[in-house]
Amino acid sequence: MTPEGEKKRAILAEQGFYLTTPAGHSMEPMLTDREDQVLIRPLTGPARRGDVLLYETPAGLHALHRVVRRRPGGYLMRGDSCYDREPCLTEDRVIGRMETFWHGGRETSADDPAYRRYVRRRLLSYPLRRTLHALRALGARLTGHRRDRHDKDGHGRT
Amino acid sequence: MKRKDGFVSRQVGGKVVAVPVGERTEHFSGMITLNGTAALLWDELAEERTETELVEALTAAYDVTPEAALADVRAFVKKLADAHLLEP
Repeated sequence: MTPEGEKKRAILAEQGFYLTTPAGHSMEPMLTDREDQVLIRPLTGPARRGDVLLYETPAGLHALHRVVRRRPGGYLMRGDSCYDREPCLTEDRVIGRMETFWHGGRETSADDPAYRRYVRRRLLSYPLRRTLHALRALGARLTGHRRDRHDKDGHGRT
Repeated sequence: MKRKDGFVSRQVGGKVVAVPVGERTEHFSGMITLNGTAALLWDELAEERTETELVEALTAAYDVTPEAALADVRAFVKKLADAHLLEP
């Protein structure tokens, strides 16, 4: 864990929460780059499929992505608007779990039933979205245009 | 005096917490946890305020003497200045 990661863990241990404005596009449309807030709490048990975790990648970058699947000793993660495969997240790299978020100033709990339905739809629609994304990318290559506005790894600042 | 803009405050449990948004996130990371009087002063300082106006705001909202309010105002303003959160 980098000093920045240890600092966030220390804030979580001391205050019991960590509020931040994430930077990046990887969780759009749920979170708008540098405008919306997430409230992180320590992860006290295994994360559920669909939970959003704040974690540190092996490269030392901090990411806020969604649990796609649980794996032995870790999780398969993906940003809501990302299509690349991520290496399995090991539990020791988890900093905390999103408990609440504010989008456009509106507060939503991660346990809110309407939000959980959104999460299910988002996860279920991934194969279709990935196919459409691939087709768009192919079309852009054929026409010489490129519309990829995401970082290569989909990681921003949290 | 006036605090820098580019922050939003959110209620977290019984606390008010301010964090940067937009371009401010490039220059300030972290969160500012505010108690009751600090949250009031933080809101007041979104606009240009004199020390006297801040003391009046505190004494109007809380059962506190002007002397105690002045001490609170000066302590809070010093914290903001130390964190470079006041407009020059």
